[in-house]
Amino acid sequence: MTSPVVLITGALTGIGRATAFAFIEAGARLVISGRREDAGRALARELRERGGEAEFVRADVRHDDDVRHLVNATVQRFGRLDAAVNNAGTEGFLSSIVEQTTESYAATFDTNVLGTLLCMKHEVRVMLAQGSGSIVNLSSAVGKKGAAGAAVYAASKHAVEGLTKSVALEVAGAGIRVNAVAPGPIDTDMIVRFVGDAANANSLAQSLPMQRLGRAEEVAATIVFTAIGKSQFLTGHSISVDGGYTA
Amino acid sequence: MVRRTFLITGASKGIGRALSNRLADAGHEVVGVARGKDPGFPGTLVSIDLHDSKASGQALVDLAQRYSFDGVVNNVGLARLHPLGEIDLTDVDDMFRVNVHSAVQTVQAILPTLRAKGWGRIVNVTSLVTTGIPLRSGYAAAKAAVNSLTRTWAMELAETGITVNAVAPGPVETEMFRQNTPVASEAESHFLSKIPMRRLGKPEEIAAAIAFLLSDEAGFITGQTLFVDGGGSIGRTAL
Repeated sequence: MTSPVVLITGALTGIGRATAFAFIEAGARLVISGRREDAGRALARELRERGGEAEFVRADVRHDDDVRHLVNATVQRFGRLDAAVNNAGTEGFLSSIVEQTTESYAATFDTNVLGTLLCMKHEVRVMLAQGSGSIVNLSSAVGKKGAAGAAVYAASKHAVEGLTKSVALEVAGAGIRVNAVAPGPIDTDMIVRFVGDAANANSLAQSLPMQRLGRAEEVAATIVFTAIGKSQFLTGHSISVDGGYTA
Repeated sequence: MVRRTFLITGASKGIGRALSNRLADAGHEVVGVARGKDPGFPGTLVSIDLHDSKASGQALVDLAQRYSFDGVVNNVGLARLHPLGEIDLTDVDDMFRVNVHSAVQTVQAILPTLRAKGWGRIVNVTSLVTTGIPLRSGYAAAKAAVNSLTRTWAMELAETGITVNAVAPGPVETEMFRQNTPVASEAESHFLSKIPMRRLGKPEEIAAAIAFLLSDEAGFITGQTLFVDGGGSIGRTAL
């Protein structure tokens, strides 16, 4: 595949941003998406300065119309959709179960689960017509294990694991692969929000088998391998990039 | 790219040979272990009989003195099939020697070198059969043991810069697979009925996954078993 067309949601920060640069490095043509117009256009410019092709399309993955437009705009711009990285996610309201509300549940599940579902729905529609494609959803180490104080987030990522496997089965015969990448604690803004401050992030790092946080670039490399690498027999799996957290 | 030196067992055929080609093409030095001859091998091929644990242990220690290894891929496999009720324990011992003992021996042989470097990659090739496939009592138990070793070693080595992972292929078009599963046999259609992609894997597709786990970029991945199986382990395509 020369210069695959790749769509990345939640591309403006953290793992999404690192993934955008990794795909440009791998020679992909990109549509990056997020909710903030200015930051999105600035990132697209930065990516183009690296010599790649990149467009920003604004979308909120919680809204079906936004996602339909995002996927259609990608096909309009580049003629096809070879790979999609459904990375947009939120940690939601991190607190004990007794503090959770209907609203805090919806705030997490609307982005992490409904968002992933809507993205796959529209991506698969295009990929079925093409007869090929590869989807990577972002799960989490707590998509496989429990997390005290993050029950709703962990539940949402467990849901992503179920969506990934089920959709992989639905489309395996149609030339489309669906996998997940499950990061452990990665050195991003989200992990600081997760644990409160940088000092807590450091003690979390010390508690991991590898005794360090992961780098966004390490997750990005795994996403690129999973999405467009030569391992075309790989489908339905969730690859942990977590320093041994789930080992 | 840093040029690395990798030890690969079962290197002359199937997945091992595809991996050797890939790593050599990427500029790495490959030292393969196999019993047979392979004139076109893209590296150094060493004849060590991994069926004979007593002899192979010392041979691997000697080999580790001659090369500055950065990692090992324990790819060699031996599968003999028996229905429960007819399990031959001599065969089971052979399968544990080839699939399990050899992995312990290669890792113990090169571990001092990896520790000294503060960098290393261990990839064990296991199998989809660990999820339960008829007639594979001994083979699946041996490969499951290797999956378990993968996690234990990952934990013991997590702070050393050495990662330990497994790749578990589904059915792949290789000589070994064909020994027990001839083309167009009932066994083949049974296998394919369990694979959502409805095809066999190619050795190059497994090699690509192993090569990724050997890379610098995969440094935060450890203790994992990556199934590359056309979806064979994730569920049923129809309810």
